[in-house]
Parts: sequence; C-alpha cells; structure tokens
Amino acid sequence: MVNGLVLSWHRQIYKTQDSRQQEESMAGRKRILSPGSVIKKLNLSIFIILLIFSSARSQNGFRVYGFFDLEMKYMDLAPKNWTFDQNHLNVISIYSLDDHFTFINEMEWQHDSDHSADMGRSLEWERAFVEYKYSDALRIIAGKFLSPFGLYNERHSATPSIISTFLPIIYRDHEHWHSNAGKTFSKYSTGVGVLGSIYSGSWEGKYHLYLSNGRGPQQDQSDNNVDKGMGTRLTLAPPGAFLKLGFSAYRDRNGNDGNSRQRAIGFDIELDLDDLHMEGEAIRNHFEELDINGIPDGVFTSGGGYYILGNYVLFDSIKPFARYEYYDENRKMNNDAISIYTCGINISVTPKVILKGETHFHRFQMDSMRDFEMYVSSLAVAF
Amino acid sequence: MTRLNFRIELIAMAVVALTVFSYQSSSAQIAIVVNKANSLDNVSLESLKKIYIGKITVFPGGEQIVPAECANLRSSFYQRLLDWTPRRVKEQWLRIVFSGGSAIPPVSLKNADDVRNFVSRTSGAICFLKLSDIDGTMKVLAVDALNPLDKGYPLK
Repeated sequence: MVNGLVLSWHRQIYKTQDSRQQEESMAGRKRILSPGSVIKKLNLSIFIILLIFSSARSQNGFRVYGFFDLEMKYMDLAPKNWTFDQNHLNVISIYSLDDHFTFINEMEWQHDSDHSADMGRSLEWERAFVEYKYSDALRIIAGKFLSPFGLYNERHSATPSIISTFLPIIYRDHEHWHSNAGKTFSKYSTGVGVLGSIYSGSWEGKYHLYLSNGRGPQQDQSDNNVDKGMGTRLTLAPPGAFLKLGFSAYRDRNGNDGNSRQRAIGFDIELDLDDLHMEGEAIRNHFEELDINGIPDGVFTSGGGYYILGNYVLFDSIKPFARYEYYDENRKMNNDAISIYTCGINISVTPKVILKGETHFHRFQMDSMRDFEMYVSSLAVAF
Repeated sequence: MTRLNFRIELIAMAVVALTVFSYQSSSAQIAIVVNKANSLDNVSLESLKKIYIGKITVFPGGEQIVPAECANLRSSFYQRLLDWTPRRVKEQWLRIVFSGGSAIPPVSLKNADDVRNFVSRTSGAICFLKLSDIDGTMKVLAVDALNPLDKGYPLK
C-alpha cells in the first residue's frame, strides 16, 4: 500500500512517460467540451474582457502582475526521455476599491489552457478574495485563498520568487491542485481569515488565523459537511531582520479519503546574513480514519519530513544553491522514506527574468523504488 | 597615432564624466517627500524601511501608502536606507505580490518632474528626491525628527 502511495505521489509530481503518452493519445481524439470546460472558457473570456476594460483604470488602483515559466526536464528513468513543459502562466489582478478594501484574484493556466483537468492540464482560479484592511495589525480576508502554511504555500509555485523550480517534497503533490487527498494540508482554503503584523520596538510578529471548508469529498470549494478546516500561521522576527521563525498548523476532517481526520504542524526558519540565505522547514502530519459515527477506527498514519536549503548571491545576480530533503510517508513503516539532494544555480538576467538549472538526486529507502536523477533547466519570467 | 590618442582622450573624458555623474547622484542629499495634504511631519527610519519593503502599508491616519521611487536615485537611496541593491528590493516585492500581499510596490518614476507630478496628485504618495529638486508642491518629511540639512540626518 505504501509502495502504491509513493508511486502515486511520484507520478503526480513528475509526470511519467506513461501519462504523457496517455495525454498525447487523448489529444488525438475528438474533443468534446464538458459543461465544466464551457464554464471555465466563459470565465476566462469574462476575465480577459474585464482585464481589457480595467487596464484603462490602472491609475485608479487596478494592478496586474504575473509570471510564467518554461521547463526542460530530463529524468534518468526508463524510458529515458526529455521534455518541455510550460508549468504555469499566472495572472494576478489586484483592485484597491478604497483605502480599506482590496480585491485580489489569481488565475493559473497549468501546462496548457486547452485541455481537460483530468489530464493535469487546467485553468484554475488560484485565489479570489476580498481583503478589508483596518490597519496593518488587523486585516480580514474572505474568499478563496492559499492556506498560509510554511514558507512556500502562499508563494505557491511562483517560480520567479522561489529558489528551486520545484517546491520542497514536504509539500508533497502540491503542484497538482486537483488532488487534495495527497497533500499534507489543504493548498487552498475557501472561507475567512484574520491576519496582521504587530511591531514591538524592532521585533516583528505576524499572525494569520483562518476558518475554511477544508478538504471535502467534493474538493475544497464545496464541502457541505459541518467539519471545517482551520489553521494558523505565526511568524516572529527579532531586531535586525536577519532571522525569521515561523509556526504553522492545520486541521480538517472528512477529506477525500473517506471519513477521516487530518492535521499537520510545521516549523520554519529563515536566516539572512549579507549574501548568504539559509532556510529550513520541518513538518509532521497525521491522518486518522473515522467510522461512520466519527469515531477513530484505529487506522492511523503519521508522516513527516524536513529540508534545509542554502544559497549565496554572487555578483548580485548569480545564486548557487543546495538543498537536502527528507520525507517519511508513514513513520510506522520502515524503509519507506525518500531523500532528495538538489544543487543548482539561478541567474537573474534581469530582476524579472531568471534562468534556472538544477540537478535532483532521488534516493529511496524502499528496494522496489529505483533511485534516479533529474535534470531541469527553466526560464522564469515575472511581469 | 593622433587618431588613437584622440580616442583615448575621448574614453578618458567619458570615464571622468561618468565618475563625476555617479558621485553626484550618490552623494546627493536625499529628502523624503509626501503629498502636501498628508498630516505626517516625521517618519522614523525604521518605518521608512518597512514602507519600502512592503511591511507598513498604511499611514497612521489609515490612508493607503503609495510608495514611489525616483529611478536615478534608486541605487543610492536603497543603499543608504536598507543597505540593499535595487535587485534585492525587486525580489522582495515579487515575493509579496506573488504571495497575495496587498501592499503596493513602488511606482517607478523617471525624474524629478515626474516625482513632483505624482506626489502632488496622489494623496497617499511617498517618494524620495534630491533636496535641490524640491519645490513648494510637496511636503518634506523629517526622518527620526531630523531635517535633511540637520547634522546626523540618516539619509545623508
């Protein structure tokens, strides 16, 4: 079972040759538009029209940003092959209604905008929420937002602002929005949150508390049961801003894997000493099956992992980096952990155009899993 | 030979001109300016740092801060304020924007005329400018209760 889980996770993070062939054969078939895809295309059209009309108001509080990337990837796994993939094209629009209300929206084309979601290609609303800002110490958000968990969930897959092309393994199959069950926590939250920054002298503290639908049987957007998701993220930075400590927690119930209870906690640290940047995170997650009465039936899985990353800035634009990651899917099982060693370099051609090159060495404890290497070059552009 | 000498002289003059120009912009007295209607008279250095890295987004009165930067002073300003390069400041803002932050990244303005126009028209604006370029259309803020000509002014 664990082997299956690892394989499933593995397939989801790194698209295998099989899935690519399947996609290619699907592409050859006559395409039939489902009602869902028609609605998505309609949404896209409305969004583009809004963008066009709103651009004239850019001086009045409407701002548009975005990023895209292109990867070239080679995996040392049979059948050996290399591929291009355009993982993201994200458009973020922010509309300041007045000094207090702001609307934030983000749409993502993943891999390709013109295919069905079940092939891993999709058009997805990443975020759509309104923020009421009473002050920097008190902000309230309502809508769909990225769950504030760890260093990266809110930065999600914005490749111009993350150091490696891929998120750390402890975020698991985070890249794939359509599978919530395999995540350590819910990538998205639909609900409300309260957040802010508090300063005391030169100390800085941030808090974020949220209540959401959590992961439900119908995806996070339409969880009609009474068990909601909730979480928090707290950060503390002492004077000098060279060190930042963070704590995250998340729990929900009745996820995609039937009636279950899931919770996760994480700790993170960032250290900046001139041109040296270090960061690390550790996460523990628990999954517990419940019977129809909501009582634990004894099936309990506990996993966890961590990573450390360091990078150094040379000539203001070249960033060599190295990362070590470890993740154990089920701590009760022996020999099912994975370690990944990554080394790479980011070159900022301009502050908004970044070339990335990296090598990942995947090492499995499980004998049935073959170790492999992956080589990735990518271009990340912010606009 | 004469032509070669001429070229060398030309290059030398260009180098001297560039050095003088960069010295002038790096040694220029920098003042912090806001819209005249802004009730603020003083800003602490710590708050100013936070404004330019997106950690403070509203003025004490509740008005949204709209930071701006004057392109030809950008390097020396960020060096003096944060000891950061403009590239690092840009990276900071990319993270904020892509993480769903609602802070407004600094509006880039080409020259002093653009700064004057922008600050006088935008009620929440804050920008930096050479002291010699300031006129009566905007208000100069003290930094840590020190005016730009005072001894110990932090942005000297």
